[in-house]
Amino acid sequence: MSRESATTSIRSLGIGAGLVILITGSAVLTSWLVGTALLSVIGDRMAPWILGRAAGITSYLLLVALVLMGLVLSHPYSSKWRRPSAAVRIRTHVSLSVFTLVFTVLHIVVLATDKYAGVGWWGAFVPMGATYRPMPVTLGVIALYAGLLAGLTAAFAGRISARIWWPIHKVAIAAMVLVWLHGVLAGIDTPVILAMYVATGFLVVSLALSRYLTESHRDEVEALAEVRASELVTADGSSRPLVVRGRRRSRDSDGDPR
Amino acid sequence: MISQMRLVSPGDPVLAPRLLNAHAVLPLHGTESLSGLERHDLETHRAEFGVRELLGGNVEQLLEDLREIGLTGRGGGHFPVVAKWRSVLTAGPGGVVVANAAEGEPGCAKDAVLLQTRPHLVLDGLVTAIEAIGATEGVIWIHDGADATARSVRKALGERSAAGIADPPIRVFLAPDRYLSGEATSIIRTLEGGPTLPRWVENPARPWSLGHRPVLVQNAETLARVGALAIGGVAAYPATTLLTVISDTHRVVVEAGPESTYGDVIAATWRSPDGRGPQAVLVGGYGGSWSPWEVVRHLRVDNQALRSVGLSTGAGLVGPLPHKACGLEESARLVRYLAGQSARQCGPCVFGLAAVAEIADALSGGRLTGPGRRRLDRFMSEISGRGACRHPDGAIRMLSSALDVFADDVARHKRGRTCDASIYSVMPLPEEV
Repeated sequence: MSRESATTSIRSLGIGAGLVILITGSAVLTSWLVGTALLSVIGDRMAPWILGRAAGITSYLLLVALVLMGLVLSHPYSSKWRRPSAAVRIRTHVSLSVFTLVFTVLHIVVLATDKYAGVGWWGAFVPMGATYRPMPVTLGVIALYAGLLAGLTAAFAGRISARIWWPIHKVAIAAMVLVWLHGVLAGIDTPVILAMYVATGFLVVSLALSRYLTESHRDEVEALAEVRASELVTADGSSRPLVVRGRRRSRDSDGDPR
Repeated sequence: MISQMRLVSPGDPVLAPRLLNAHAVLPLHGTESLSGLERHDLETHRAEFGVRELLGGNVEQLLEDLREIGLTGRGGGHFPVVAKWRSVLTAGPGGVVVANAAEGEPGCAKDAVLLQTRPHLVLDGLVTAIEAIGATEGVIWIHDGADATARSVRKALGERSAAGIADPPIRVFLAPDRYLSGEATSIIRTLEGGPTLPRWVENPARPWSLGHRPVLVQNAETLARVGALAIGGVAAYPATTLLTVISDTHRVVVEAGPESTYGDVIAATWRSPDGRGPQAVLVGGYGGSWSPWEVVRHLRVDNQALRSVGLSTGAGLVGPLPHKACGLEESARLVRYLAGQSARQCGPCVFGLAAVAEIADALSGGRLTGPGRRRLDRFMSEISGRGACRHPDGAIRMLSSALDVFADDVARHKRGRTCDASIYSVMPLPEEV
């Protein structure tokens, strides 16, 4: 074994060990948090309500992290940032989506089964089906479908053309906005929570602005494409388009094979 | 300036010219002021080369002749012309033939020289190709700003119609003056009404097409050779190579005979700034390869001969690097230029080439670290073959040959000691005009 490959194996072993410690640690921490929460509300008539709220806020914070990571992934400067590496970024994005889904499911199940909540299964999945604050709950319901659609399209990333899944994936923007409104309109009861929604909303909007206002290589392609070829007018002054018969095979939008 | 240059007389046995009867001298930038070579009007052209007969039913004979002379594409790819034509023939009649003289390589000027001095040879070749593949239209593709070339082409078309030659319709297009405007798919996208940018090709073996019309894109020199073959036949075919030599303050377009070596070409055309021979030569184009002068000097100017040492005549560039210049700095400049000329369409170019250019800059500036060098090697292997067009591949090929040929310089630069040669640059770049 050469010295270089030995160093590489030691490094990958180190990374593996680090991952094991990280995952074990986070599992212990999560169990402790959930256990503490459960123990403190057990026997309380308000327990499902508190759990539902907690799951909703957790799910919201995970969604914020998920969207922030998505914006980082698609940011024009993304290739200039070395750390975390592209592989870590995409894995984090995928993992966050899974955890967001898990806590959203918990949020829905707890509130749908709580007979005092005024939501019920009908209210949890059908717009305007809840008796408790029907409008804000409906926003959450639509956000759920939008989020599921965004997740579904991402599952096809790399399997089908980006020209199909990528535009649909942008429904995530609607999901984020709706979830924020859902939270603000149905979930604010203390100033701390309000501050959290304002701060996280500000964070997401700032990064989104930076991502969409920064000139990307697509803008550069457009600028290059604007410089057109011209025809030198010949003796007969002809200047008709060259395609005369048959289907045009022009696929100018597909210049980007991604 | 030019008179000091050792020009070879037309009768020189080593560099026996056939398409051109003398060297053409151009400035480092642009093709507007060419000297040393007279333009052939239609009458002179016919007197020198002869009159092209209509092809009629002799397509098979022409293809056989093309195979016999082994003509390959002189735009740089060196794909066998016969194979390309046969493939286009299967796509049916009614097509378009493009004479590609965009010459995006900033160092090269052979196509401009041909169109400015031998326009009828190129036009004869273009019309022959149109007849051979059953096309109905021709396009001459030059770049915007090549005014002298455009004037010569326009004049030649006028001369032909005044002489009553019934050529098929030939149209002249001016492409944006960029490196990638001469890429075949850029041309096709433009003719379709799209932007002049390369396109992803799913099946490179399939003939190009515009709707149902097959398209044949050939370099201007290739067509000039087809013209010469169509007029004089195999016996009179000039088995030569057109080269553009970058010589200090000028560029010299020279026609090298099949027996002449790079040593002969450099001796006849290159003015050394320091009285010594070159240390290395950039062969083919800015996306070509560096090679030590000792390797190249005895090689015949012939694509087959170059292939044996892993080189290609490419688009005909010969860029000798004097001892007082630094190959690494030169390569870093070229990679930066090529990265800047990307169409910004695909990742390997937008991100990969940009990153490689950055590392190459660090390398030539003596700031490269060990991990940086490993990243460079990794990027270079990951980028090759992955763009929609071959643009990044060429840049990587050039840089990787530089790391090889200038290995001593790499070691010196890595230790943070850049060389004294750093202020002297050789290869012309349009941005630096």
